[in-house]
Amino acid sequence: MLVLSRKLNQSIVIGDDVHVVVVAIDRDTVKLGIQAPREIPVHRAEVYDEIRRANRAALGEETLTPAAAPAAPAVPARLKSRRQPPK
Amino acid sequence: MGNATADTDADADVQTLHLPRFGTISYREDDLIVFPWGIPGFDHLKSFLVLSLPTQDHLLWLQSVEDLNVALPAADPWAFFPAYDPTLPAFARISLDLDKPEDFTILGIVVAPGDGSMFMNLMAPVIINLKSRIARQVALESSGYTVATPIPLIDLPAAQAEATPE
Repeated sequence: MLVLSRKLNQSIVIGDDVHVVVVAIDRDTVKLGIQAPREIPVHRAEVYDEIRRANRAALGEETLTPAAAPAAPAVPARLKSRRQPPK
Repeated sequence: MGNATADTDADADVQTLHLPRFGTISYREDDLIVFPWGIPGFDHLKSFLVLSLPTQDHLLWLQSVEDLNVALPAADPWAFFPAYDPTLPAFARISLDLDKPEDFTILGIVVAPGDGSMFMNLMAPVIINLKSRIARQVALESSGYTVATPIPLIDLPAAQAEATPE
């Protein structure tokens, strides 16, 4: 991991397109400004962790599965959007 | 995009999988959904099927074809949360090439801890581009939605409620 020290208003460039600047420092909290191309998601790390844990939990116990061999087989679902295209 | 040629080649197109949870299933290449960015917690898995069971109306299964032990339950969020109003962030619209509302569908991953309760992740729905078959789980970070929103059991079909053990 690269560790850099920055003062207020100093910034970091990641790759060519991601800029991180220290916007404010208040006691134990650093406020960061992030400038990145719109196609790049930027999240607080704990958000990603929450999602990861929830997905692993979804895999968890098999309480939703039918017993043994289902009478009728599982099939690829017919996925539909909520909106129909205009006729 | 069906056409006469695809129909005559239909049998050649069909693949079979023997799944730990669902037994033997058949699918076509174009049933596959690709998650180029993986799914958080399963980042190495990119290729999935969305399966439905005739006995379970509301529930779908996001089944990995690369790790057959990975199948995540999911459902249409609006089946349980009619007022769900996710705002898709720019990175989702751009990376999935979402143009018109009819181009994509949204699923919420479900957690069932085993005590009869069920929760849906409304904070990070799975968005599937129906034309490209490309999908991504998208975090709606400041939306106020949570990863474990209780699903009102009273809305579940009776058969579903019976399926959960006491």
